Amino acid sequence: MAAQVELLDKQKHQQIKIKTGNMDTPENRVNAALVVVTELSTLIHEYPIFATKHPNTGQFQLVAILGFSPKQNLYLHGEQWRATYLPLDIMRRPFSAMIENDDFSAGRIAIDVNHPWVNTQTGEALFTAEGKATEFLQRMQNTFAGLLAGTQRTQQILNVAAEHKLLTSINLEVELKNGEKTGINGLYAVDTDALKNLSGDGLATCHKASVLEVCHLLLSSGAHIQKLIKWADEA
Amino acid sequence: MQNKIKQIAIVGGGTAGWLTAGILASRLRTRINNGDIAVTLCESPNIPTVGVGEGTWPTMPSTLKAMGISETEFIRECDAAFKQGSKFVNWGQEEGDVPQYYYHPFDVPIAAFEGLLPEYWLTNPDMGSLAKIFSVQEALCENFKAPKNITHAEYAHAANYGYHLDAGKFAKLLQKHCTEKLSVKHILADVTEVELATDGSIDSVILDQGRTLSADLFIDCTGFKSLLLGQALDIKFKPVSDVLFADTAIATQVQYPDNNMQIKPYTQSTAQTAGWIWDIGLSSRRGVGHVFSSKHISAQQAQAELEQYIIASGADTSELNFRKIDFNSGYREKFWHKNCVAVGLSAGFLEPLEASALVLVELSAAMIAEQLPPTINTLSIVEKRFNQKFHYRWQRAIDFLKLHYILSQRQTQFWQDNRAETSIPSSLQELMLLWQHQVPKVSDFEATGELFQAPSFQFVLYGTHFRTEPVYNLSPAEVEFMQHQVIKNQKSTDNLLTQLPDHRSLINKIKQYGLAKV
Repeated sequence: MAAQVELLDKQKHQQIKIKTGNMDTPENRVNAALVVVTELSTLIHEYPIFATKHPNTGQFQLVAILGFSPKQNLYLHGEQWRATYLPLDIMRRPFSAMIENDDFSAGRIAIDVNHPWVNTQTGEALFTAEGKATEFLQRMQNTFAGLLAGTQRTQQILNVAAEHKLLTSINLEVELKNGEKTGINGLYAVDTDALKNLSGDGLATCHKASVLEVCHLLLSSGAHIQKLIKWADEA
Repeated sequence: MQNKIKQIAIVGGGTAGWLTAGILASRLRTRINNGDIAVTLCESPNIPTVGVGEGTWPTMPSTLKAMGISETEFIRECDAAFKQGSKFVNWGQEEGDVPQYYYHPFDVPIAAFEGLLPEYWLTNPDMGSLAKIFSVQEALCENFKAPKNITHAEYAHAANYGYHLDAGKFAKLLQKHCTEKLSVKHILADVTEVELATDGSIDSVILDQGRTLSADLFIDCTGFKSLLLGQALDIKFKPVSDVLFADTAIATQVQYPDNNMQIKPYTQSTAQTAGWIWDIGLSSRRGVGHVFSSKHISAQQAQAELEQYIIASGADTSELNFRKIDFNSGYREKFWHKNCVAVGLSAGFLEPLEASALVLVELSAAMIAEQLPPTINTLSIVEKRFNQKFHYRWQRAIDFLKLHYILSQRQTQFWQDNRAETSIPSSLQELMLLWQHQVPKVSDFEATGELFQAPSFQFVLYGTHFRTEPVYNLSPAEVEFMQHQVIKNQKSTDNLLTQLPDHRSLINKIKQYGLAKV
């Protein structure tokens, strides 16, 4: 069913419950998920993470690679998600933030009422009988607060990285066991040579702005590509 | 070493002066940082710049990049827009019900240099224009598309481009960059006198308030006045008014009627009764002007044609300021004499039909930087090389501009006079004779450093009525190869038309978000 996104309303959505569990939802059938720098230290243990440009603004953002072809999510295994940590961008479902004029400092939470997890019978309620946010919804609100703050921070850090040419355009090409060639275009990886050659003011600026830390986290996440190739071979 | 070249003085601070300063200082960066050489630019606080050079070649992106200028900053500061080539309207014949036009795009199609492309096209010219069949840019321009996406890095592109820019703002940006980032010294003063040494070279220029500027090499960027090369060193001006008849321009700036109006991603040149009108779209406004021959029409008549053009383009003429500029087409007998070299209008001027002004500055400054000898006593060798190279370039540029005129079938006196054999340089007459039965190809031109290459000649030559009659047939393999190119170009065109944004919306996005460096 097509998504129907409504601004969250304590009267309108009083009865709604969220039955979490089955991760195999249509919107999870994607090969990339947005990532913010604040969750990098946990996600790098399980996901390969690269930079990419937002198609409408050209601004850098981070994505966790979940698969190679457009709707391939190799972390989905039946109804399970094969990782301990989920990117906030996956965890927030079926909720989304309504952002106006690219102002990431504020936003209102909306819900896709056609999402398979949304029902009135079982799962987590959103509002108490008094119309207050339940603990579940409060956790969700915190997730969004983290996402919004993280989005701005991510952009600042990636801008400094790009300014110092620490990112370089790559085409991720993989060859599967059956000989099939697949991959993803439009990704940017950390340029290790540029990173090594940083000196003087550039080095100081990048260090202070946490750019070095983020670059090293991104570099260490690259190894998970091998795991994805293995999963793709098994699929 | 006694006669080491240590000081370079640039006199004049318009676009030519600052562009030269930027190119020299970025190419000589190591020597400047080591204290071996210093570049000083001296400009008058009182003399206004001419400031009509608003169209560039696709050389400008790499020139700016090499100087270390951010493309985002350049586009924001100079009201710049993208230029993918030139569109010549009604050059073939008098305006009819449907305007006819041809494009001279910046992309160089495959097989154009070798001549195979026009040879194939001539077997069936009805297939469509060269720029449409073998380049993506006619379609992109006709659809007001930008040559890149917001996700492209600075200076990267999907289709080749130069810029339209505000010359005054461009000079300011260059000045800021040169003085803050490239260690160019800046003096604000009027030149009162030029002191010659006993050997006839320039010893120093005397500035107001009794200051003196000495240097080992002087670069004359003083505009039409040619204060150093022309006046002080008495190097004569060689007019070409017997070939190129235009001698006057009336220029104005036209506002867009609203902020959503399309920005043309090309320079439009529309033929008139005794000249042509340029139309250059910046992000903030248009620069429009009429270049004409005052021997053929009066200034009033020329302005009336210009106003008519502006009204027909959907703009209002009631608030416009018109500026008349008289000029002599031609160039100096020498560009480099002893320790002085002229760059920009001081070296010469040609009507801006193919936007050759700024590219000549880029090429001149690049050659000065590349060839700059370490010692003064070897300057004469570079002088000889430079003069040879640039004489050739100016003559070829004149031939190429003239080519636009002689292909026309327009009937007013101006156009008829342009086709008179006596007005056509013999070098161009020879080329036209060759091109009766063979197409322009790379072997018709000097191998390197050619200003206008074979593909440029092809786009113009076959843009209107002229058709070469080839003597030989193509091989089946050549025909097949070219058929593939046509199909490939059609696919690329279709793809780019869907992928590339509208020109104005890209400019707006660059202003809002900027382009990334990578």
